Amino acid sequence: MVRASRCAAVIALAAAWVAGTGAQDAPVREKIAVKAGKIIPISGPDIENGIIVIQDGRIAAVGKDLEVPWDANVIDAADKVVMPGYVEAHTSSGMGTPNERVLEVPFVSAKDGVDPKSVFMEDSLRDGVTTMLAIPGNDTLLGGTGVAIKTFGLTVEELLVRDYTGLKISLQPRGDSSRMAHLARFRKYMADLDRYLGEYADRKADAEAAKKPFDEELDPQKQPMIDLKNGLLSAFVYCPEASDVVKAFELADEYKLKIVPVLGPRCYKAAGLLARRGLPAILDSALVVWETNEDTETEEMKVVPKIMADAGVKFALQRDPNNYETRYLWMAAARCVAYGISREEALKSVTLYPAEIIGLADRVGSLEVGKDANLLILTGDPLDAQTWVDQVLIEGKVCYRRAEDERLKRLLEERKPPPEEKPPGDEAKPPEGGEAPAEGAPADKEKPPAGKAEP
Amino acid sequence: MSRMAAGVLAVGVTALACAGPASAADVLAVKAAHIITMVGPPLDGGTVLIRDGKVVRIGRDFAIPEGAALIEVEGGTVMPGLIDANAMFAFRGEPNEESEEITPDFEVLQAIDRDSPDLKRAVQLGITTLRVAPGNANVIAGSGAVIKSCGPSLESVLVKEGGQLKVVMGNDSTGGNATPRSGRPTSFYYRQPTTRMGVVWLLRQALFRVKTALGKGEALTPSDTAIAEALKGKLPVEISLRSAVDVETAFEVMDEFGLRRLVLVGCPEGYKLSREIARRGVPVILGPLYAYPRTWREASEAPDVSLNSAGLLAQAGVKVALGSGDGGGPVDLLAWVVLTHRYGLPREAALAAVTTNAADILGVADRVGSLAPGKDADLVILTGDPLQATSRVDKVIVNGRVAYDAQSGASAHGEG
Amino acid sequence: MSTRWLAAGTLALLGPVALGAGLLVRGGTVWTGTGEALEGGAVLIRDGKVAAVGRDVTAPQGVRTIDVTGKHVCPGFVDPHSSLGLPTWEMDETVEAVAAEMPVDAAVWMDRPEVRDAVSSGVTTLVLAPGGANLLVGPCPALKLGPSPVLKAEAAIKVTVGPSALLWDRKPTSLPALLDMLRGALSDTEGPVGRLVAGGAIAQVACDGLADAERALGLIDGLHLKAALLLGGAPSRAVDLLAGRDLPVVLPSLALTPRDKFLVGPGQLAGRGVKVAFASFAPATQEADLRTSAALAVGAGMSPAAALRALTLGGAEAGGVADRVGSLEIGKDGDLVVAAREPLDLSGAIELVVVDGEIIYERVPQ
Repeated sequence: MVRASRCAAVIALAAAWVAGTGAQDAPVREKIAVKAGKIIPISGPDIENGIIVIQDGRIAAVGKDLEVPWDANVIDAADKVVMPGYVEAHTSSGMGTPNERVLEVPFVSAKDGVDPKSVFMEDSLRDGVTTMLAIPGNDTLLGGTGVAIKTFGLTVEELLVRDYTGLKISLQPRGDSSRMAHLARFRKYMADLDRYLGEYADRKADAEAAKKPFDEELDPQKQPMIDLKNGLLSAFVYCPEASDVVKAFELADEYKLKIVPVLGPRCYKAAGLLARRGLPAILDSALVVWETNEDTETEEMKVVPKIMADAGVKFALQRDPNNYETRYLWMAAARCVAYGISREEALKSVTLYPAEIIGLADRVGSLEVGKDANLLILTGDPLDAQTWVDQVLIEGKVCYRRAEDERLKRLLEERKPPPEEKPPGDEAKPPEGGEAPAEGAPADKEKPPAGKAEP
Repeated sequence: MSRMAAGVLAVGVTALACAGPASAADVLAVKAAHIITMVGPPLDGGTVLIRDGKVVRIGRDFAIPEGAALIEVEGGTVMPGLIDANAMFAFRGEPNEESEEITPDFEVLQAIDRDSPDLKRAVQLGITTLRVAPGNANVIAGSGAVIKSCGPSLESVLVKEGGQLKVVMGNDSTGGNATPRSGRPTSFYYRQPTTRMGVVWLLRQALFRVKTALGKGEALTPSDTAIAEALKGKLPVEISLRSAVDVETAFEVMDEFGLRRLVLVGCPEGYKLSREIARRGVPVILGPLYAYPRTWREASEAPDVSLNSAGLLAQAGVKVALGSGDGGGPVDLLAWVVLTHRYGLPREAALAAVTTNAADILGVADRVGSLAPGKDADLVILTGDPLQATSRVDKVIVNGRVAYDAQSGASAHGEG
Repeated sequence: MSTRWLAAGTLALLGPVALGAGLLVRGGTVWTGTGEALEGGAVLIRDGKVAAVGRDVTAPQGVRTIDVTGKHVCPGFVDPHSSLGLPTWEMDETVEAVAAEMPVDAAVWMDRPEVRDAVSSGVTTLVLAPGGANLLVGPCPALKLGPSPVLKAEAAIKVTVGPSALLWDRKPTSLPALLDMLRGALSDTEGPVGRLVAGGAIAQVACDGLADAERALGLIDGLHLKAALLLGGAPSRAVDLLAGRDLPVVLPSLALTPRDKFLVGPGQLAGRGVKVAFASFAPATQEADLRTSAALAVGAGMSPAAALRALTLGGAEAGGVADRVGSLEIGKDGDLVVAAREPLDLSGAIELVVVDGEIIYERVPQ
């Protein structure tokens, strides 16, 4: 009885969250136990009929024959599948305009662009994405810094998982600029930065020698690039073409940068390079690219994730929310399986690997003790096209329930009441059979088209 | 025949491909764990026997003829080749004759590039038949053609010439007409129309002119003949449109001119009028599908889409097919099937949307869209269920010849 | 027309030597273009025509004799499709889509270096044609690179079946309308096109790729045109389509591409009985690239005899002038080339070029 009432309380609480009535406060203090028909922890083998215990928003235990704490709220998902929330290692959606028009804006932050109330954010939650790295787009050289967020909250502050994560460098020349000019610009920026830091050090030394006060503050507009230089930030380097991957590596070596390659669809040719360097990569949402074989005049289908996997490159998958076929991370993973990648690797590429890439593997990406309790309760297997996200828990809180998802219902059902049935015998009845009305009908009896004019 | 031998033979067939001269492998047996014929219940395990490019037998309990090439996909599913009911790619030059707005006698067949890279991609996506339609730049755009995605000659790929009168409503045909384009001395711009009103005006004017001529028994120009055929109900009128308002206008025109055979194409907002569309017995070729508008035309004319457009139309009783439309190239139709089914289109209807329904609407059901003796041997062999995203196209057979084999990566288009 | 070319022609020639009485070229290996090579053969040209070919030809009174012992003699090369002398910016007049009364040679600038260079290429006859931005242009003259340039004033009309002839603001904008207009123009026997066709002009139908080639063939067959096909795209892919047809097929210079699908095409087509020719499509390539093309085709499997035929008689057939040029036969024009080695051996220089019995080029060792 106690349990039942607590359960009801959780549901009521969850409903309140879904309705978005209250602001988010500190993590829920209660214990929650999720009884799952199947647990896909990602970090280990699947568990049939398992239990996940959540305390203070974190996973306290995962296993098969666990005792459900007497004081835990129980979520009964005995006929459902539970897995960690999807993680997306790179997105510029949901920000309106994802780029400044200026080439060098390392100081802007996606934090100021993320819209918690965007349809994209809502869709992300609905589709089971619980964590993502929002980062400026690929249209400028030094695009700005990213922010790791969860997908539920009323304000950006509530969304924050970790601020100041990753800096976007795009190797895509803008407009009619050339790659030469683009890279030269980067090198010039770095040289200027070195000069600035040198002068800063000189001024500091002079001040110390003269025992004068010294303003320690660095130019805040340069701070992200200084942090990049010092290895405190990773560069998410967008490489539109395979040859840009080579450039990305050159820059990484030249300036001792930590980089994460964000690959354009044609970068599959860089698989060997990436493998040799042991770097994981973020793949484009287009998993298949076509290449024309000029000799045979055939079109060759290149399956990018398969090429990467065969080369031994770990990768994270992305969505393209504007494309009907690539809107879902589960579907991207399912396509990987279709193309011959193991189910385990495919699921990792939308959970654990992206978590590793954004440096949050200690918090998200798998169901392990101590990690954030970001759980998807699914109606079936994650890769089954008929499976829906039934509930989403983020940090132990139920943030989404399909039963209460009014927008989803609207998306799937009719928007406007159907027109009233016209009474039988109405002249709008579909003309059927008989001879063509046009034939033999006197022309002068025909109604001329309204507004008809002689051309 | 041992599996290894079968494999060798299968590779041989691939190398020969659907082009090239007739070979000893004119008898082909395709064995699979599941066979979806679209005319009867699915078969669990069986063989499709193909001779001279046609299906001759489907079943479980017959001996495979000596010398037949064998293709076997363990755990695979065989289904009829997919049909893209409204493709707007694989052209040489422009898909419209833009020197006039009303071009009823325009035959897009003459603009089709059967050697185009788009078709070579389409076949690898499991698409074996396409209805290629004229572009959207004219009010009355002319007729399309139904072709196979692969074949050694023009005759071998042609399934049906003409077969409809394409009308374009909405703003597509008004683009660029509002201001004179700078051009050469002979430039024909200004073009009409410039508004949606103007589109309907030009359409009705053309229909009225021919209707009047028919009434008076006047001689028809070749260009008017196609309109006359449509007025007589011999040729279906396909109206490409987006907004629900245009669907209503289309029905008004249909009533005014007594058009008996109408097909709605594109139609992302048709779901709002699904009952009326069903009541009139008008089929719909849906596509391109989108969750959120991607172009300004989609945003201005049909921003309000349902993910379950196809399901809602089908539920009301509308015959629904899928067509890639003005997306600029072939689309992964199977992904569309998977998603429309996910959003509410029943399994059978989702499969029919790219097979039987498409064939029916296009008037080519006697040849394609289902697997039955006498039908063209156009098959897709999938690694799993067609309604799962975890399945992929493994082999494609067009006119009885292997046109694509994912195992070898070979595609037939290289031969010619 | 002829005055322009005459003036230009003289300008272009490197001191033509008038040999009114005739010319005997003897002692070399003669490749007549019709049969076996004649070692120690001779060619006698009188009044600008071939008067005798054989081993035992002697020089009549007053005929100049040139001894080319150890060298090779072959017919002058024929380029069936060239815009030699047309500046690149004046390759097309697009005011009319069907322009059957467009004087193609009006835009020719003869005082251009490429025209002078052409003389030493071994090409002695070419069909002068414009670019491909019109559906139909003509008449295209067949010209000699010699003192009397006009071989046939209305030798050809150029027909283009492909998107290159489509402009966005001129009817037609589409292939279906293009084909319709072409059929209309070509079947109108009263019109200017019909007059040219009736006058024996060959329709050179340009197409690019398999699909266009099929449409071009449909047009040729449907209208029973006397035609040659200017085949763009990889010829190896069109072999099945063209085999067994009595239709000259003109291929662009192989110097443009190193790809096998282009290089093996001429040999494959010739092997299946197709009458192949090479064209420079100058200024896309130069006249000198014609011989290079034939040599490259041999390297990719074409028989040397077929390659030489493509360079000579094949070109003449495709230009509709095979009755006059393309082989060393009695009665044909006295056009010949003397090369230091076998005609297609590029290490052997072209030593001498004779047009209508007159030496228009003689190599002077530097």
